[in-house]
Amino acid sequence: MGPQSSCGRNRSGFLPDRTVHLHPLSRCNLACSHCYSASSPEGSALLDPQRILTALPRLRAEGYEVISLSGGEPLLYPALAEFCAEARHLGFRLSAISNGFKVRASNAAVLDGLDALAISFDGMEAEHLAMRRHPRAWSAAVQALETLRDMGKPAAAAFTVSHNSLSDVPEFVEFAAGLGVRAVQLRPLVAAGRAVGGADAACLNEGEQRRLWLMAQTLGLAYEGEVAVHVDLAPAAALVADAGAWAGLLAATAGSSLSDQVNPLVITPEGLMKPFTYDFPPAFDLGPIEVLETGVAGATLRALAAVTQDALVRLDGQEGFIDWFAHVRDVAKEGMVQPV
Amino acid sequence: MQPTNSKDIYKALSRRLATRELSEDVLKAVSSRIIREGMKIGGVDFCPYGICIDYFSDRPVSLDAFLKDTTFRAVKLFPYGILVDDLFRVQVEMNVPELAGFSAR
Repeated sequence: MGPQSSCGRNRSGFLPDRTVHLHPLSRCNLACSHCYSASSPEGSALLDPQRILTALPRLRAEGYEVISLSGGEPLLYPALAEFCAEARHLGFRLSAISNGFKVRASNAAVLDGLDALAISFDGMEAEHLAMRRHPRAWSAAVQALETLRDMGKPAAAAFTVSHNSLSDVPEFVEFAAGLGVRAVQLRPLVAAGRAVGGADAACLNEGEQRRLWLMAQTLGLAYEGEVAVHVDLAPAAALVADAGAWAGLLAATAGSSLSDQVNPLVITPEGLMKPFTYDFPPAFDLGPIEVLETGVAGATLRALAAVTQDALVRLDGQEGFIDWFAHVRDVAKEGMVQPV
Repeated sequence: MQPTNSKDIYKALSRRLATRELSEDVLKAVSSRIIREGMKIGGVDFCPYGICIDYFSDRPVSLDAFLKDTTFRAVKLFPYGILVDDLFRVQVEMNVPELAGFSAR
């Protein structure tokens, strides 16, 4: 319950593992109306494989243990097989989130390089197609789950919950359970990337967040032992009560590793390191991945600690349900605390 | 005909939540009662009276503060003692008539 995890290791924030969110490319075969990274078939940013391969041992030395690949569509990354082989050799666990188009038995060699794969959904068929803007988006995602089941590969479904898809959630979890997924991650739509100015009207309001959280509790009970149901929302008071998890950042000491302080660490297709979210304000950028060799600037980490502390203080006494990383990002965007 | 099991009941409740059959007012009342400052929620369940919550705290629990402003049907406090000497579990039952029909126990 304190700052240590159940295995005795110091925790680093609210995530169970020290995680790198790697976005190796901005290209995607889809151009979804709500994409937080504004990826599309025209996306041209591509992380030089040599740069990330060189950075991998340094990320491991900083204490990161999981790499979660996103994009763009990560299965379109040309050096994916080589990257996965090297990362696993170094002891990383690898997962990816995909729209499913490239999840085929013929692609098994690449898929075998991943420990787990999540297929992304935006609702049941009608809403999914409306958000994805591609006529085969639903069938490709469903076929991907079937393929993974047939391959015996652990699969999860990541479901972006919007105003329009909230009512689809129970039906979707039942549907996904029938396809053998091990987990359903319910992710409230975040106003970022292409969702700003367009799809952000579909973001959940306070009452809908409350409803989703309660729904996730009941679905967790309904599918206990079958499908793990997780929601990226937590009661504000529970987050405040668990503030000790951030001791590594808030009370950093000499010798603290980067993973003690920044979890998750985001790496963009340009090779830029950012804290917590893909769209975290640029003032808090941690530098290109080559900076790992010399160390991230202490002033930036201290400013990040101040923002995190401020974000926790603002939750004190609140009754709502919070998407924590979106909340910290919003506090940072307000510019109450800036890097020195 | 198979008897209804607890998982079916939870599925039915999730559908009622999804289709907005339970009003915002009810949900707001429920969630504001669930959240207790300084306490972590270990689990949510449904009981014949409404809703049951398991809380955990790594600080000694003040029952006076815990019970302030809220009426519970039952409160059970479990100090874990020599197992984990700084862990306390508080289990409460709250009357929520709109949820009482979803009891699985």
